[in-house]
Amino acid sequence: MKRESVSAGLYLLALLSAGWMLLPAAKHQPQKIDTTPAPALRVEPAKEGDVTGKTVAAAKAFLATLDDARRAKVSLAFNGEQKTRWSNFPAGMYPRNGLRWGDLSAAQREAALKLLATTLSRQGLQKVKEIMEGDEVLKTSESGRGGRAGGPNFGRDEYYLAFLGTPSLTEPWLIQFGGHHLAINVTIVGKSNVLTPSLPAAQPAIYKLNGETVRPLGRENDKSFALINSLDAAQQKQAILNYQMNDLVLGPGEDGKTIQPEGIKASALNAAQQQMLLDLAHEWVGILNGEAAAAKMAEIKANLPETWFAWSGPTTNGSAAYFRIQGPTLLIEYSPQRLRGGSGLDTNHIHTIYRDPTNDYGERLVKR
Amino acid sequence: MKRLLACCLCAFAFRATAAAHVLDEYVQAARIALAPGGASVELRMTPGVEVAGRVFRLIDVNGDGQISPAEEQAYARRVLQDITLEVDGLHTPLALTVAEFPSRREMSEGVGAIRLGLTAEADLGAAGGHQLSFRNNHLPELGVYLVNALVPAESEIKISGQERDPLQREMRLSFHVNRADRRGPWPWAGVLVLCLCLALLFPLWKPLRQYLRRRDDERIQAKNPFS
Repeated sequence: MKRESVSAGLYLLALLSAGWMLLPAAKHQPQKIDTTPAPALRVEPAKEGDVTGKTVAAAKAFLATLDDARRAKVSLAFNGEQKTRWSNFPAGMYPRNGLRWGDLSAAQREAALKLLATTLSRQGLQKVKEIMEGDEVLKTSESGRGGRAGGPNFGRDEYYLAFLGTPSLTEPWLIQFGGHHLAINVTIVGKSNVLTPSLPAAQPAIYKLNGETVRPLGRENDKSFALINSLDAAQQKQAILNYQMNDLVLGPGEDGKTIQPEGIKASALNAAQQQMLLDLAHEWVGILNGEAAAAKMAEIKANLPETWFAWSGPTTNGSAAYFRIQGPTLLIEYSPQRLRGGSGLDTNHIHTIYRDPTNDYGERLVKR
Repeated sequence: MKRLLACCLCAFAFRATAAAHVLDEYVQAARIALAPGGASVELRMTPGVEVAGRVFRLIDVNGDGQISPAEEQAYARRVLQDITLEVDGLHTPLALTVAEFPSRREMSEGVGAIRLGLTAEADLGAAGGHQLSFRNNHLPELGVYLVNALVPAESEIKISGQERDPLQREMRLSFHVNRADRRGPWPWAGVLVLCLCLALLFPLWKPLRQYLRRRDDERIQAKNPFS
């Protein structure tokens, strides 16, 4: 009897061990939330009359203006290295692939501009032109080192257009356009158009053209100062970082990374402030055509409670200040840079970046 | 350790091709990733065009105008000595896992980034609150700094606070691990096997002893048939 009791006890202990073993095993399954790749998005087929259809037609019209050699030069593989080979550097320092703007004929430029006008919004195309014209100003300025033998090339001719993949209503392809202070990456998959990652920047950030003052990133600057100054003292205490920001955190080459957010959460803003934050984000989102931008803004609005706004620097408009908007599907950074020999950040040299950590290069649309 | 290495490799999966162009400073950007087995630090160091020569001469110790693999390693070790990491107040040594250097041309044009991968083994997975402190003391007379934490890949690690000095040379991360028992199920598997063996053997123990005693008696009797 005693022997049976001891055996039964041991069996019970073994059973309890098994249970205890399985319980923590279940607990230990890591719940990957923040960095798990987001699920694939459903791709709606494009039609000839929608934005993708018009963009495909404009891209084919541009290709039709080229001879075979140039057509080969502008056409690159969708999944090749070129996808991530973009930069804020001047073309002389960072060689681009594709066709150089300065090498295009008048008819080819017209076709290329028509393509950009179709895929971008009116204000987006205007921004692109202003950035390019700014580089033309820089070319002839002292700080641009323009014209020096062996120096980097500046100016509106030093921008490059490339197609990654073949313009298509169904298959993924990408329009890449950029040069100094500009990188536009529009991935097109069916009806969906994605602008991330893109880098609109400016130097000079203010200049005169035909007697008019031009500020390529002026609205971004003014709206950000209006937002930070709409916050009360307690809100500003949360939003303003105690350290200086000298550069973009997730600039070119920093794909696929998500940094820990900081600043104030949009859920701590009132309705008017939230709207100001959305308007500010729209300055980047709205570079793309209206249809795609509206879809992206709806997504950003839905994620607004989990979106953060951070600021570094003075709050008086006209000062050099950095800000970041970061949400589940959004990262925008605005970063004034130092100029050579300058003692601090300069409002006349701005870098910005626009990313979607879940869908850069249309990643979620491509992985069908 | 595997997860730590994976984390480090992930950080380098997307090699920077070109970043900013600060001209007269040495931009040193650090990204810190936390994992249960430790921390990894990715350093992207870009000397601006006007200080690139000075940084190049620091690396090119023998002055032959080329950076040899030995000089790369020596410079990377120098940077390593200038970085300090503490976990829960204890100094935690960093090991160099990746060292990538740009070409001389890229560096002289101010577009080349030196990328170093560092890892520190530490038990960051123990349940509760922790702190990690990072400091970059490398070439402060030239350097401008950025330091950021990546969102941890393991959801049980939650960063609860980030503090930096105004120059971003130093960062203190507070984080919390929501894990009840990270020893895992395997110690209990041993107990399970032991108990099952004992439970199976225990009923056989008495007959086995009786058998062995009877066999000994038979041997003794065989040796001494008159006893």
